[in-house]
Amino acid sequence: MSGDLPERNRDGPRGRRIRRWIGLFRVAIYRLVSRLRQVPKQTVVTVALIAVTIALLVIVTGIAAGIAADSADESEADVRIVPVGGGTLSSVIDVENARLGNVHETSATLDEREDVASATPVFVEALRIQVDGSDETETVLAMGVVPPAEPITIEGLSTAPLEPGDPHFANGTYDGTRTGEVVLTDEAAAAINASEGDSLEIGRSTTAATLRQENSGGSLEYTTTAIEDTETNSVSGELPLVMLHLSELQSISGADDDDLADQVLVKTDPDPSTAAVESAAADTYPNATVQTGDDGQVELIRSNDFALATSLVAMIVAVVICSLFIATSAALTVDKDRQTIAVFAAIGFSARSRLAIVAVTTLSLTLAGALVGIVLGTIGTAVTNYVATATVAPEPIATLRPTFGLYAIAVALVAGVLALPYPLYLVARTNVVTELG
Amino acid sequence: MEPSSVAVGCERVTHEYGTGSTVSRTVTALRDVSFEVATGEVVGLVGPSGSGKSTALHIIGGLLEPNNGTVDVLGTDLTALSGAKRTRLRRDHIGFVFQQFHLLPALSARDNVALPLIERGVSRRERQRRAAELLEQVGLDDRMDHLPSELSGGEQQRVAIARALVADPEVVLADEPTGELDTGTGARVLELLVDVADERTVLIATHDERAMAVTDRVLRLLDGEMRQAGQFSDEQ
Repeated sequence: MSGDLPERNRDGPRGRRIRRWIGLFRVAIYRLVSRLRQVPKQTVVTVALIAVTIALLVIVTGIAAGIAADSADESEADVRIVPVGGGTLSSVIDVENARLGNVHETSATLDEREDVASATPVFVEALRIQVDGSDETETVLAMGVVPPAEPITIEGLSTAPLEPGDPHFANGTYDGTRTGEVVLTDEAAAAINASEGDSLEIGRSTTAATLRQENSGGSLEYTTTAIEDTETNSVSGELPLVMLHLSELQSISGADDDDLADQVLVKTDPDPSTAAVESAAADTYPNATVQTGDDGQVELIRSNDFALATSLVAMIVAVVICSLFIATSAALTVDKDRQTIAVFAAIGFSARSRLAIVAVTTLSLTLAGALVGIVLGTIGTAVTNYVATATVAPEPIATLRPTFGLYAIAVALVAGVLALPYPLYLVARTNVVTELG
Repeated sequence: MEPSSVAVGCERVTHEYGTGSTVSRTVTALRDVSFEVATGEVVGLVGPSGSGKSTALHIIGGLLEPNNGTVDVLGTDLTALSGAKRTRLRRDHIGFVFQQFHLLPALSARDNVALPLIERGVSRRERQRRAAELLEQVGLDDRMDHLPSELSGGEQQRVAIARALVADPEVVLADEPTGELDTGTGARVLELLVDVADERTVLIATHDERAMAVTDRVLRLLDGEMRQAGQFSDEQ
């Protein structure tokens, strides 16, 4: 008396399966609406908690992106070579990292390539500076570069006022002519009351007297070649910064033994065909890290350790908190809905369909929370910027990009997916017979 | 598949609740129960509360696995099927009517009736058409867009009957379908069930013996054992 019954539509056309899934999706949405009617307070609280968490994520990510943008390099570089272990800070004025050696020769090699417009090493050192004869000594960040024939901008400062090349280097002898040219940012000039044409004393000494002695002893003469008004968006817009020829700075700092620099900036030609240059740079410095200057906020965040850490922590906290809220709320709903789930089983809904209905309901609720959270986050970012600019910051501290919305939705959905196992477990163990009485 | 003259057959079916749990005490719901129901037959499963009627229906519907015995539905041994296959069999061949209707409160009468067709991949238009047709048959053509809360108990049960029949099952299992209704309404609902079930095999579990007038035959259960079987007229 036993045999296999024909299963109607089991292997029906694809359209039938699609219609089934659309139908299940509708049932899931029905469950959500039904839930909103039956337990409005619980549903609203769940959406609100997800929304607040996502809003905080958007705000914190916006601040992190703001931090990254603030410390972003204002340099015309398509490819950047930095030492391994030198951190991922993009700014050229990142100091106290591992350094590259023999930089004149290697950057010259890159410079000879047809697809490279210029390759210049950048060496950064904190030094003391004062106008010749003045007692006002100031610590500045000195940036040593090899100015290309076609001037470029490095950290907001143009190399145009400096003589192209690096005459003092003189093929590694450091016996060539010292140009004594120094370009100051307006902040640096203001700090020491310097004007164009002023003679300067630069060195490592900490007092005006010893600095004067250090410069006289070496017969060093420096002149304020230009004072430049830099963009406030760059770090150089906030810190006193000076730029001079690389070898001259290396000599002052004692970095001339190994021809050291912090990084090499490469500008490609034609821009932005960076792939070949990136490969050549990697060959030239096999043990260094080669970065490309891709645009985009995510890249910007990734390029700044602190910002990256902040946004990562925000994401992890958001995922954990959202998951807990969603899992708790979905479990309570499943518990209340056991009879409905049992009815689905009794009228022939497969276990997979029942799980899918609960999963779609849960993820829809999460999505609703995420969308509200994005709106709240946008408002929150505006409020944060308003409060910041009205109190402590000269400019907005948080940024907002359309990609943040997608990011927030993705984070919320990940949290939703992570929260699913518990409610699905409850669905799977629902006793149909007990529920149907 | 060859059509079988026996739609439902139970042979020495025993089921105990509590088996396999850490609780040592078990309750025997069915003990060595054997019966057959012919295709197109309307059979009443009568007995007091706790006699095992619902358990028998749940086993025949594939919602429960018996501890012993075999259950044959439309020529298929249910005890040999996996849970997923039993669910599929329910979807395609069995309709359920419950005592408490179990309609989804936020869905209209028509959407409640159409619900089982979703799992079968029927288009929304076709689902709505067939649901409307069934609701018309149960006399609710003017209540299609009403929510369950806007319907009386009798009307809700008629919606539940329409839902049980919408997928055109060969077997309809009704568990205390009149339990929540007054006697008059209950009798009318049963007449309707048998009427719209047409040539289908119907098993009705009830403790309301007056409602058994609509059945072809009665199976009497007491304390999980089959006590008596025969034509309803024999019971008088």
